[in-house]
Amino acid sequence: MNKLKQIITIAGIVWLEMVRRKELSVLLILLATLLTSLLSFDVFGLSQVSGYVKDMGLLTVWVLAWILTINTSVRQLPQEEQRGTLFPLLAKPVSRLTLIIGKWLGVWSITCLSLVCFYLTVCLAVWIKGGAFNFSTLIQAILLHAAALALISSLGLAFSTRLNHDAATVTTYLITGAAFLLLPRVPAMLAEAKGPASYAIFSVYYLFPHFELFDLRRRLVHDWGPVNWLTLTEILLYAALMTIVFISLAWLGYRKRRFSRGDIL
Amino acid sequence: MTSRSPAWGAGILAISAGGLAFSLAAHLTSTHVEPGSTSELADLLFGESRQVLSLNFFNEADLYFHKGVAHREASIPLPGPFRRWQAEITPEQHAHAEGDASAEILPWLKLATRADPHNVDAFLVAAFWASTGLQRQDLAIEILNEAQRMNPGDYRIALEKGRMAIVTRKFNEAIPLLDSALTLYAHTPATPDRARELALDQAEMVTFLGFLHEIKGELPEAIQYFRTASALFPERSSIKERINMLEAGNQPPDSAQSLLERITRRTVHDTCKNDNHEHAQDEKDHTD
Repeated sequence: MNKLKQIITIAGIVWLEMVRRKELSVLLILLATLLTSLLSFDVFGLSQVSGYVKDMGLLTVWVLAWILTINTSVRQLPQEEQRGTLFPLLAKPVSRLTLIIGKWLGVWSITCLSLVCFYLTVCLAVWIKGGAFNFSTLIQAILLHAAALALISSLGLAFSTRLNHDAATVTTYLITGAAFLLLPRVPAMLAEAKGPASYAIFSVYYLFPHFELFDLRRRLVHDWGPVNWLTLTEILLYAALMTIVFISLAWLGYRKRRFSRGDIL
Repeated sequence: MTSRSPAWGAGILAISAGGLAFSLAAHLTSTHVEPGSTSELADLLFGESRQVLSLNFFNEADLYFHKGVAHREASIPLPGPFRRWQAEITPEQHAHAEGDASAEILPWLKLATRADPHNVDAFLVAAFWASTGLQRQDLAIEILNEAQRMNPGDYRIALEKGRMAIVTRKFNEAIPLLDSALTLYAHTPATPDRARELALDQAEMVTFLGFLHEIKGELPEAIQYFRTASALFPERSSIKERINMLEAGNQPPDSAQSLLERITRRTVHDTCKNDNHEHAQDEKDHTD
C-alpha cells in the first residue's frame, strides 16, 4: 500500500511538472491551427466532405502524441539526476523500481490525458465539417493509441536509464519510427530478401514492438466499424506485456547504477 | 531551476516549420497564376518536392476510392499472431467508393493539383469523379477549365472536355473541342514510354470526330477520320468495315450515335477492373 502511495506521489510530480511547462497547451494550439487551416480549405465548393479532416487530424494527433511521449519520458530520470533531486528521492526511502514505475505512470497518464484532449479537438473539427466518427471505433482507437503510448514511454524510460538524455531521445525516436514504418512491410521485404539479410529482417520482425497494431486510423476514417473486441483485448495484452518487458529492462539498467553527487553537480 | 531540453526545442521548431511550410504552400499555390506558369516563388521554395507531394496526394485519392484498402503486395505469411491481428485491423476486401462517398476523393485530388498545377492526371481524375461519381457536370467543367488555365498546351484536357460534351449530347460543341485537342496533340513531344498512350488518345480523338461528323451527315470528313484511326490500329476490322459501308453508301447496322454513347459511357468501376491495376489510367484503355 505504501509502495502504491509512493508510485502515485512520483506520478503526481510528473503531472505538476507538465502543468508548469504548458507543453500540452502549445501542442493543442498547434493542432487547432492545423485543423483550422484544413477547415478553411475549399473543396470545389462541396460541403459535408470531412474525410481529409479526419485523416490529417488523426495523423497529427499521432505525431504530436509521439513527440510528447518521447520527450517527456526520456527526460524524467536524467532531469532528476541533473538537478540533484534524485538523492533526496532515493533517500526517502524509495526503491528504484518504485521510482521507475512512478515515473512511467506519471508520463503515461499525462500523455493519455493529452491524447484525449487531442482526439476531442479533432472530433470537434470533424463535427464542424459535418462529419462524425463511429463511437465504438473511436473508443477502441483511443484505447489502442493509449496502449501504444504506454509502450513508447516505457521504451523511452528504459533508454534513459543507460544513455544520456539526447542519445536516449534520438534512439527512442529512431526505434519507434522505424518499427512503425518498417515492420508492417517485413513480410513483403522477406519475399525478396535472401541469405543472412532475410534472417536479420526476420529477427527484427519479432523483436521490435509492432506499433502498427495500435493504429486504427484507417478504420476510423473509412468507417469500417469496430474491431472484434477479442482481438482488441489480445493486442492490449500484448502491449501490457511489452510494457512490462521494457519497464523491467529499465529497472535492470537502473537498479545498480551508482550516482555520485560530485559527478553530477 | 528548469531547463528545457534541446529535443523539445527541435520538436517544436520542426512542427512550426512544418506548419509554416504548409501555410506557405497553401498560400503560394492558391494565388492567381498566369496561364501556363506556376508561381516562381513556390517553385523556388519547393522545387521537385511539389511533384512528389502531388503524387502522394494522388495516391491517397486512390486509397479513398478503395475505401482505405491498400494495394496488395507479394509477401510471406509469417507465423505468430501479428499477421492475424493486422488482418483483423486492416480489412483487405476489395471495395469502391460510390455516390456521395466519392466526394471524399476530391479533397486529395484538389490538394494534388494545388501541390503541382501541372499534374494533369489529377485534374482529369477529379473531373471524372465530379461527373461520374457525383453527377456534377458543371463541377467537372469548372475543374477542366482550371486545368486548361494552368496547362494550356495539354491536349488531354480538351479531349476530356470533348468527351464530356459527347456524354451530355452537345455534339456541336464537341467537334471544335476535339479539333483543338488534335491540334494540341500534334505539338506533343512523343516519348517512347508514352507512345502507346499517345496512339490510343489519338485514335480516340479521331474516332470521336469520325462519329460526330457522321452524325452531322458529313461523310467524307467522317471517312477521313476513320481512315486515320484505322491506320493507327490496322488490326481493328470494325473501323475498316464501317469505312467500306460508308463509302458504298450503305447504312451501318449500329448508328454513329449509339456507338459514340457506348464508347464514352463510363462508370466509377471502369477505373478498376481487377486487383493488379493502374487505377487512374485504366478508363482510357477501356474506351478503346
